[in-house]
Amino acid sequence: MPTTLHFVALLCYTLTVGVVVVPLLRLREVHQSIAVPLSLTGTAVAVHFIALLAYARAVGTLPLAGFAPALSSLGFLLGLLTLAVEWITRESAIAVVVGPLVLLVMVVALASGFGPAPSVPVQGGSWFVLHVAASLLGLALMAVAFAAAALYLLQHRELKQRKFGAAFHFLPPLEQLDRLNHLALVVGFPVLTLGLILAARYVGDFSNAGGEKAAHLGWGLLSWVVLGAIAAARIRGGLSGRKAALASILGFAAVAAAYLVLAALAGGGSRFI
Amino acid sequence: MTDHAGNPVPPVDTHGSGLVLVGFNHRTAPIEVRERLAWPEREVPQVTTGLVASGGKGAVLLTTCNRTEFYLADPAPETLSEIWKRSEIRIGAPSDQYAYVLRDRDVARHLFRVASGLDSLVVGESQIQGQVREAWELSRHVAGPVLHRLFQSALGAGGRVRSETPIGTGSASVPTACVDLARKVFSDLVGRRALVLGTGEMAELAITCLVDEGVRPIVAAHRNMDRALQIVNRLGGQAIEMEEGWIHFGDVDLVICSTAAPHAIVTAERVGGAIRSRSGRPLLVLDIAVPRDVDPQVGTLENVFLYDIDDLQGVAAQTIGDRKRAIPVAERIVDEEVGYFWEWYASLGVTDSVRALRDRMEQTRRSELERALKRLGHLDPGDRERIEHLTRALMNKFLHEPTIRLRAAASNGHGTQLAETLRFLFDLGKPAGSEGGDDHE
Repeated sequence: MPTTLHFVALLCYTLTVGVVVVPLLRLREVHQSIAVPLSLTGTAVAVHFIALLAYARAVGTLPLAGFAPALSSLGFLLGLLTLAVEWITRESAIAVVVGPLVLLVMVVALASGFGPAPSVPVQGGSWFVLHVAASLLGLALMAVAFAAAALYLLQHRELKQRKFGAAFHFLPPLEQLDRLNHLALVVGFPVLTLGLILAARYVGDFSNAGGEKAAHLGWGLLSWVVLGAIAAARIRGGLSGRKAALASILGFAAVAAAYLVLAALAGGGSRFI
Repeated sequence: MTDHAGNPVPPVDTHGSGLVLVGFNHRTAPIEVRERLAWPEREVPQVTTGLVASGGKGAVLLTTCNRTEFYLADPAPETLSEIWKRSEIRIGAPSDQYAYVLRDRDVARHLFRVASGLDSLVVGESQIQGQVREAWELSRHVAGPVLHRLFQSALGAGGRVRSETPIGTGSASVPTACVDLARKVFSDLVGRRALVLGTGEMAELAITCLVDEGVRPIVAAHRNMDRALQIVNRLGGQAIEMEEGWIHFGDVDLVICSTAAPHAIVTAERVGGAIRSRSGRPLLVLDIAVPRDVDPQVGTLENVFLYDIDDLQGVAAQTIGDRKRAIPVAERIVDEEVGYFWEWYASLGVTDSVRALRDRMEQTRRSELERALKRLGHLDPGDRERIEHLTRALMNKFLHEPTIRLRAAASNGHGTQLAETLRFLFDLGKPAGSEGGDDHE
């Protein structure tokens, strides 16, 4: 049942991405009401939430322990943030970037199969739940910052090159994207920091561990440093606009690349989040 | 005097002819005539009251900078004479050479197109819908039920056209393109500051549009300080000398350039320092001067978005193209809405006439039956009832087909004439409310 519901949620996310991408594929301006993408995103998030609840009920634990459930929760947080951004800004462009990311994590989660991972710490209770939830939210906010940055650079290019086509009309105003990037970084960094502090409870375990756990720790610290550096630069006012967008994209790319490298170094088939 | 297609029309015998429109617009009258025919808002109720007093069931006056139109319900010939007289007084010459006269369904179609922005100088402009609503409000006391319904339906049609087509979207002029571009850089324009270099007409129009969005202007003038002061007196903000303007490139959000300088006066050397001090905040520069005021090099500076008149005209032309493509769909919506209105309107006279005919027939049947039964006193009550039933059945049979056909004709737009014929043939008199009352709704 949880897997079927995940497939339904995946279908809804796919439809959302389809709906928001269509205006971009047209050559001329297309007037699309926000109601359609907003309803689709809302439906996808609601179905996804029900799928996660069904999983928690079936397995008897929150969908935070284990690779696939944690990945699905990350997808849910990304969907929820997309919905929030669409609702507040009345613009659906964010889904063009975050939508495919959600699809990717959902597909990987479904391909990995659901069920708690054997290495999941069984002790820790609410600290563990908070650690994973905060870390996933921090990563999701980092992804939103990346999405806003990518859209910023696209709109910047349209404006600089004086192109007034479909992308120009579809993309939100530059300042709005810059504010979203700023907010996601500034909120995302303390949330990720909280996730790392809560992980300190497991430092003993990690210090003795090699392979996957060391990679997990290393990736977490790298993400924290990258996000922290960009957020600090933004808060100090030294970074804004196009430079901030570039830094966010590079930071996100570095975190993603580090994940792949560390997962490979930790041993074949290693996966963590 | 012409019809909608510009063909000459014969003198109008309007009495009892339903809807009539006498109008002057940007296609039939030059600006100097139109501006004289634009009645001030405060005079409109008095004008429409006077028109209804001269005969007819209702009048609405729509008066804007591009059109003056009198919508009349069943006007008397005196009503039209009154319009010609009033118009001639205002323009000081015979006015029928600038006028068009439409009747019945064409009146409805015209007003629906007007309210939808299809008849506007700039297709799809949104102001007209508010102006139609205002005209109706101002003349409401004398509009009568037919014009009341006509204007409500027209506003509904306008709303449908705007919501179902992109005809009212985008920026169709250079000043509105300035606003659109500003909105794509800054999401919210309230409280933004704009530096205006020069006091040209186009700059004034552009800054007026931006001020409407909440932008605060600083107008910089070189020689024409009086003009700059006039603009800030009207729009708010401050007027400064041109030389004081360069430093503002560091703190304003927008710059509009419209000087008469023969070469670029805004150069990277002159404003580069101020722009670099902006710490990454975007600056939108709109150069609407010809020849251009801004050196293209300025556009290559970080976070500066520079657009010249060609770019702005390109945005406007694209919108106009999009709107033109939406016209066929908009016209279909108008036709559909006119059809709904006309069905209602055409059924009005027919319903009254059919009711009058049935009343007359019933009256005749009763009196004839009464007379006959007096002579047939030997009949028992059962036979009397059978005769009563027979006469009623015959009357219904006779009236059934004409009633059906009349209603069908009404739905095809021919009901009014047939209803008039019916009233004439059976001497049914005038329909209720035809003496100037509003009571046949």
